Parts: sequence; C-alpha cells; structure tokens
Amino acid sequence: MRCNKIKKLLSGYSDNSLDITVKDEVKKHLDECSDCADYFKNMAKIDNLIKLKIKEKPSKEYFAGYWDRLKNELEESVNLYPDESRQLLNFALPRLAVIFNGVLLATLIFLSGLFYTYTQRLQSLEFVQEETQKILYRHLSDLRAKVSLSAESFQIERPDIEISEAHYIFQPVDFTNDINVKGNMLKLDRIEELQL
Amino acid sequence: MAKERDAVLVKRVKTGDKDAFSELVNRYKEQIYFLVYRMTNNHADADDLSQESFIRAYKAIATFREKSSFFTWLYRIAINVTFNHLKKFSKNQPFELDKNISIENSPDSPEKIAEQHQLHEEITKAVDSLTVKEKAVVELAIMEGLPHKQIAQILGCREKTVSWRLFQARKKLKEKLSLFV
Repeated sequence: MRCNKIKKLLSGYSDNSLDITVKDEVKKHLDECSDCADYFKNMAKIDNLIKLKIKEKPSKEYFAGYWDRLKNELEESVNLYPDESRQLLNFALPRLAVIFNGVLLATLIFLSGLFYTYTQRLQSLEFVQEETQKILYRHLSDLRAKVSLSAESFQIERPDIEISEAHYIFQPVDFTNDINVKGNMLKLDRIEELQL
Repeated sequence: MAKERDAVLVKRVKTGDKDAFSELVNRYKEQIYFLVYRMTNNHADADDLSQESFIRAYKAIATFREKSSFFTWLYRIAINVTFNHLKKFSKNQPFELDKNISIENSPDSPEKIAEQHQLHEEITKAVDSLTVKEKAVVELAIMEGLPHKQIAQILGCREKTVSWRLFQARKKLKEKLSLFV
C-alpha cells in the first residue's frame, strides 16, 4: 500500500478498528517506512495531548447532587412519580396492545382466507361454466336456442327442433376451442353456421 | 448485590420505576457530563445539556426498542442535544478554564500551573477549530476509546465515515498542536 493510503488508515489502526488483514498490512508498512512510522508516533502524541482534557473535572460535590437536581427538573417536566391511575395504565396498556394485535392478526387471517376462497372460485368449474354459458349464449343468440350447462356437457334447445346432447371440450381460457354438436366438431366462432 | 444489567433497569423504568432510572443516571452521569463538557468547554452548558439528555431519555424510554445498548442510545441522545445546542449557539468565545473546573494532579508551583493552563487552552482551541461532527468523533474515539463500530451507531453514520472524520480531525489537530509534539 502507498503511504497516503496508509496514513488514512492510521486512525483506525490506532483505535484498533481495522480488519485483521488490513491491520497486518499497516503494521508491516510501519515497520518498513520510517516516514509513516514517524507520522504514526506524532499522531499518538497528539492523541495523548488531547487526552489531557480528561483531567479537567468539576468538583466532587457536583456529581453528588446530580440526581437530586435532575429529579427536580424531571418532576417539573414529566410525571416522575406516577399515580395509581398511571400505574394502572402502565399495567393495562401493554396487555391491551397484545389483545389488539391478536384481534388484528385474526382479522388478517380471516380476510386472507376470504381472498383465497375467492381466487379458488375464479378457477373453479362453476365459474368456468358460468363464463362458458355467457359466451355460448352470445354465440347462439342468433339461433334463438336455449343453452343449459352441466359439468361436462351443455344442452341446446330450440322449441322447433329436437337436438341431441352436445359436448364441449372443457378449456376455460380459450373459448374458440372445439364444440361437438350432434357429432360435428365446430369452432365457437363459427357456431352461427350450425345447421340445426 | 450484583449490579443489574442496563436492559433490566430499562424494563423497570418502562413500568414507571423511578429508582431504576436513578440507577441508570448514576451509572452514566459522569460519562454524559464529560461528553458534553468536552464538546462545549463550558461547565454550565455541560450541566444543562447532560440533564436535558437524561430528561429526553426518560421521556422517550417507552420508544426505546433496545436494538442497541442503553449506553449507545443515551450517547446518541446526548450527542444530538449537544449538536443542536452548538448549531444554535456556535460562537468563538475566548477560552478560559471554567471556574467550576479544575485540572487533576495540578503541579504545585504557580509557573507550572500557568504552563499547564496554557497547554489546556491550546488544546481546547485546537479542538474548537474542528467541526461539530469531528469534535464528536474525537471525543468518542480518543477520549472515550470507543470502537468505530459503536461510534457509527451513536452518530448514525457508517464506520468509514467515522474513520474519515477522525483522519481529518487528527490532521487538523496535528497542524494546530505541532508546537507541543
């Protein structure tokens, strides 16, 4: 390491706050570089001079009466001696906080459950059937047919024509998939062409 | 009886136990007083600000989450109180050893005492030439001998910042005090 960098590390070295590897590197450099070693010695002397200020002290009596003076200040600015209601509050508040947190947690768990159920429903067969029915109605409106769905099939009814059971392939996302009506495979987007 | 740990006393203070707070004050009053005194060079300020630090600590103890030690937290309060004071009342008063303060192990002869006072005056002037933040790291690292990691926690900065401020402070002190080394 170069001298400039070492000098910047000497504060940490002196205060024993360097990583062990960096500390070893600095120590090695100080052993080899007289300029940096002098700089470090000077720094230690400055530190010792500054530490002389530690000897500046107030009288012994000053600290003896410190708490009494502080107590007076505290009594003026805060309620140092809590009355019974304050003590009761101190007793009750932490417990109320625990109860409140418990209720909050239970509510959060309940709401999470609701949300989970809702998302599950979005993916459920029932939901898909409802959506499918809506789309089929839309497509079949021109044919004046009545559509009803069960789990795996739907019925198309027209008062004037007898229609046997029709099956659809269950794919909820893509409603352009095949529908088997009377043995004919049809695309939903072409259902208007269905000859009933 | 074994001394109760700070954390135990803090818990007692949180339940309104004034004796526990009195114990904490007695434990740290000198350190907090000297921390402030050496940053302000004034006994009256050190008295006021150290007491204000304890009052603030008492008022805020319910919010102390005990992620650091009580000592670190209290130091942080004292440093902030002192910073705010120095920002408001930064002035370059001529240094004079406070009449309430004496120097330990003073020599007997008047000449030596005068020399000692002269030296203390120069040291104080040199420290006063530092910025408030540099003064704080000098106080915590050189006078108190705290590790940089703890100083960083007290000052709410990174360890590298502490090292840098110390480097800058020592450089300035060296220039100011070169005659004495």
